[in-house]
Amino acid sequence: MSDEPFDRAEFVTYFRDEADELLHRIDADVLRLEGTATSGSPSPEIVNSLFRALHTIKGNAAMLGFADVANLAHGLESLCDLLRTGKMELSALCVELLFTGRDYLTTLVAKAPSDAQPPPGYDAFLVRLGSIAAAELSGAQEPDPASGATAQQTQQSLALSGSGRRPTIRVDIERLDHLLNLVGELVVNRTRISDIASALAAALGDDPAGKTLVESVASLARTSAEIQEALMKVRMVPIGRVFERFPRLVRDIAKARGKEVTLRVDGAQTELDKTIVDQIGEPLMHLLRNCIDHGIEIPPVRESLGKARAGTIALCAYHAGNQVVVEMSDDGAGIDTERVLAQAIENGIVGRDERLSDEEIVQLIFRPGFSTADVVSDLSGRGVGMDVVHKAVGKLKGHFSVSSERGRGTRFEMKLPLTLAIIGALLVRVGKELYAIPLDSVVESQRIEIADVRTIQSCEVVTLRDTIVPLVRLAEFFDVPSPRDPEKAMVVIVSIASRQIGLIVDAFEGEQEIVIKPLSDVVGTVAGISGATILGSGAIALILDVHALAADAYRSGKIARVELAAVQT
Amino acid sequence: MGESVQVATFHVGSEEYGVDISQIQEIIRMVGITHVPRTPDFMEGVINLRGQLIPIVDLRTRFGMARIEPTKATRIIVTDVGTKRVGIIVDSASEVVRIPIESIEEPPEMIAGVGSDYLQGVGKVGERLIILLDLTTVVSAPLSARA
Repeated sequence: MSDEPFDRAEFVTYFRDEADELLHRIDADVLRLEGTATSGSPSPEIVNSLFRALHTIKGNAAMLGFADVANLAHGLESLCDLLRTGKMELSALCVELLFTGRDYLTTLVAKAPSDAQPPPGYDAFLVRLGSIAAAELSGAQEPDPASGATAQQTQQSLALSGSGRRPTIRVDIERLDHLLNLVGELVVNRTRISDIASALAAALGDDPAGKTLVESVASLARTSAEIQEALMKVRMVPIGRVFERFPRLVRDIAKARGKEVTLRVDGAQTELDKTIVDQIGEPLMHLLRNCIDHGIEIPPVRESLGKARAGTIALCAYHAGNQVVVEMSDDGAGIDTERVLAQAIENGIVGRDERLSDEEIVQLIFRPGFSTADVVSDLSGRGVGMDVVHKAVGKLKGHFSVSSERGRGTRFEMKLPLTLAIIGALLVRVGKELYAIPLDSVVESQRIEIADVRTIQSCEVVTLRDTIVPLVRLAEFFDVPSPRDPEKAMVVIVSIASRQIGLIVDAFEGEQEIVIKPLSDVVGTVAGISGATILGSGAIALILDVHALAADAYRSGKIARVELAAVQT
Repeated sequence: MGESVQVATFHVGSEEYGVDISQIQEIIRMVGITHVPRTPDFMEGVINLRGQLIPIVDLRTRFGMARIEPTKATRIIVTDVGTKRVGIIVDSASEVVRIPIESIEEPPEMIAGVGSDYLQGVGKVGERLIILLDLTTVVSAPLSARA
């Protein structure tokens, strides 16, 4: 026995992480198998991949003493073995067994550390699996030598798969964040040291030591910037991790709805910050359900329209500048603008006399509580609709848009930042403090004359290029003292959803890349502030959350409601 | 000698307070504090301590005393409360003393306007009475309404 303490909890975490990844792969493999089921014999490559994944789960589970997981993985592995040795034909039954087994595995893995009972039906399934395998085996005459050869082959293929993979290491994300914090500190000090070095060099005059000092400090600065960048890259993971579970999801929903849907995935290798990848899964899943539920028509309808029986959903991700675009489009019915409008009027979202363009009508689906589903299904159409996706993407500092063509399909587009940790921001001064406004919501900043400011419902507004822009004085909103210029005002125009509002500040202080730090929960949550950042000078700037700020201002009546008011001159 | 606790002592108003030294990270001079709007009065704001954002609580305001301008003696005591790091502003920091457990008494109902919720006990060292603070309640917001 070793004297080293055995940290079981840590192993269990690793086991679960790895098992989750493998389960996704199993999903993908079984789906591919299902695709080849009609063509007769299964592709050995897929079956081998499946076999290896199950084998790894079995081994790890056995090591940690998770007997249920190990037994089930073993049963499924045996099934794969029959497939790859040609002792069993790839049938629909076989695919279903694999899918069901995989579902049990997922449940078991999630429960793994606890001693909870296996899920209902598990034992029966295991018995069924065993009996089917046994029945197939008894059909084959000489099981022993054949399976011996199989085991050998397995070892070979396992060894092969191991040598092709680049070594990786799993790291707790908190450790990475800590490193990132330290590097942030380094970068902050870098600026200060550069200043000191320049001052010293100037004081030293012609002494070459001064020049050397400045040069080495500059090289230090470069290196620390590179470290920061490299660390940011460490946090990047391919978005494909999220996409992996979708083929199965699409298959299941489509089946339940009696529809035929093909999912095309592109750009799975596109990399994004881990935090974003972790949070984008839910919204995308919601969109997928929507596309299948509301977009894709049932096969007979599609055929009568001259479309292919199976609808297609295309999911793709790609880089565009310092953003990642995730697109999801379907070739379904498109958004029925008449129905959306009727529903919006019924829900009181839109007035009866309002005239909206088709484009504006499509945007209505982002409003809270909006749903046009004729049949309330158990998957989507529960009144929690696109607004949830819209909010989730907004929270990730992204943009979400939709376009649709009747009878041709709908296209959703998410534009996401590469990373959440560093953002571009416009710095402004309000009272004594500095505030950082994320650039992704800034439209423009300009000086306006107080003479141009008018009031609607006793709230200030200004007309810019024929649009009425409601104004919020940040000093008043935050209740901080600030001098009020009687003649002019500095305004930052920000866009919130499709609206624009103007934030009155005391001064503009330039743009900067900032590292977002959360405010301690000792401070509590402050409406309108999402965090803080430490600037190169060591000063602190508070980061504005313009969405929360606008929501709070509207709620408390501190801002004019002019969104649908006509322009008055 | 029985068991004892080591506390760092400091003054706020006319009273002397103490906090278990294991909770104290460091004691620094007063620095510029960035005020965070729309927070309770006693929440002074945040400071940058070597790249880390530390929230700062003003003990005077927390105890319902009048706010005073910082002096040369004003200190920020950076403490670890559970997993959170919080700085508290005190009028002056004095020393580290050892208080025997048996000379620590239950807190009286009210001491100099400070609600007994904040107190863990009162320690006697010679003639001195040292009020032992319960930092967890000091830094948690909802209590502020009571007094």
